[in-house]
Order: sequence, then structure tokens, then C-alpha cells
Amino acid sequence: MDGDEQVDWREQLYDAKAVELILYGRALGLSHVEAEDVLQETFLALMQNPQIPANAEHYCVRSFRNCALNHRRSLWRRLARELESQRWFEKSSSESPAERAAMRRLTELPVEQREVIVLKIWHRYTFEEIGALMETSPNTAAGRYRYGLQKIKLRLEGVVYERDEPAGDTIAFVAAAPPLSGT
Amino acid sequence: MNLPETQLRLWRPRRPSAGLKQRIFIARVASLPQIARVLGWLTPATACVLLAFLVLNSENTASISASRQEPILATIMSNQSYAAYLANHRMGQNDLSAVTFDWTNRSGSTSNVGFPRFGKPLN
Repeated sequence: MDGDEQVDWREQLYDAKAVELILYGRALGLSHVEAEDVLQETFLALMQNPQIPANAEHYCVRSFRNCALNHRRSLWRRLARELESQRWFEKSSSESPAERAAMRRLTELPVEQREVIVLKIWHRYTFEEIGALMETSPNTAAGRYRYGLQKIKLRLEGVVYERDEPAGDTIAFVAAAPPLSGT
Repeated sequence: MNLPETQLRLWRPRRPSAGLKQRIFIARVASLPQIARVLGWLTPATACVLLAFLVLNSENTASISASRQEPILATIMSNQSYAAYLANHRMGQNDLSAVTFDWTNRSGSTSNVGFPRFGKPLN
């Protein structure tokens, strides 16, 4: 009986979080297939755990992150990942070229910036929770978020000349220069 | 500052493949308690061993009864001193009862030493 309840709990968690975790895996630098492997590994580990954690969603995201970081270390996997250029998002008929470019921009951001963006937007984490997960301060997380999102915004607006720089840990936000208006 | 969060939330992340959930939740069979996994192979293995034992045992019984070994074995087990006799009995050259002294049955002497001919006894 207890086992059935646990399986139900895990299946519910899978249904609720699988899509977001796959995206999170991509943000952490995995290919889609690797993200699936890590997702499977994470849930198989959850099956072995007889105790239901206090905050199951956060526990699951943290386990996934640890598995993903271990997975990413293999050189062979990294080489194979370079060959894969699959999309992070489902195709949409209403998708504009600028939007496609912005999606691509997200994938090109430094890992720590896109990790924060994915956690904030698709996992709906607070900066405090992101800071706790990434073992950094909420301010740093917020800075990375705004910095990365600003780059995506520029791409959405059709600006393509910005360059990547890792957001400094102490920089909260660096405002990008507005595009020159015709005067 | 106006960040495009609302627009980004509309982007739907790619779904995992359809079989992934099945793979994970079917694989939970592997996480059954240890005793269940051990019994899973132990029961049929025990049945096989018992079946093999029964088959071999019935064949042995048939061959033993055919060669009439049981009374001898039973005798050896009950009378230890008979075992030595039985061992000799089976070994041919040491079996005294089996040796036949054919030469004792002949009427003539085998000696080549001549015996003197005796005449009539003297009065």
C-alpha cells in the first residue's frame, strides 16, 4: 500500500516536472538525450529512497542538478553533445524569426545565466531558492538573471551585436545601451 | 526595465520522449525488496534441482536393483568383517574357494623319477 502511494507520488512529480527538468538539463549543458538519461537516473534514485522528502520538488531539482553536473564531466559525452543541435522548445506556428533567434540566444548564454533564467521562468523559483540551489547569494542570482534576460530581449528586438561576458558575481545588473534612435 | 518574461513563459519546453516514463516506472520492478528478487530466481532453481534429483535417483535405483547390489551392501553394512572376505571373493586369484586343484584329481604321478619294479614279495 505504502509502495503504491510512493509510486503515485513519484509519477505525479514526474508528470509535473519532467518537461521543466529536461529544459533545465539543456540549460546545464546537456543534450536532449542526455537530459532524458539524467532524468531517468534521478527518478530511479528517487525510487530507492524510502522516505518522501520534505520539499519533494526542490529535492528532485537538486538531485537532477547533481546528476547532470556529474554526467556533463565526461569528455566523450561533451564531444557527442557538440554534434547535437536540437531545439530546446517545441515548435510553434506563431513563432517569429526574432523569437527563434531569441531562443537560440538563450542556448548560447553562459551556463550560470541560462540556469538562473530557466529556474526563474519555467520552474518559478525565487531568487532565494535559486541562490540556495546554486550555492550563491540571491543578489548574484538576480544579477545573472537580469543580465542574461537583457541579452535575450535585445535579440527579440532584433539587435544582434551584443557579446557574451560572464556576469560578475557582484554585479547586480548592467544595463545595456539602448539602440540608437534616429535623431 | 521591461524584461520579456511573459513572452518567454509562452515558449513551451520540449517534452521528453513518450517511452521515458514507461522506462522509469517499469524499472521500479528492479527496486523490489531484496528477498523478493532472491525468491524470484531461487524458487524455480530449487524446483529444477529437485526435479533433477528425482530423475537421477529413479535411474540409479533401477540400475542397482538390476545388478542386485542391495543385499551385498546390506551385508557389508551389517557385518564389517564380511567386507574383507567379500573383497577377496571378488578378486579371483586370492579366492581360495575358487581355486581348483586339478592336479590332485589325476590318477598318475607327475614325477619323472622312476620307481623300481618290485618283484613278487619274498616269502
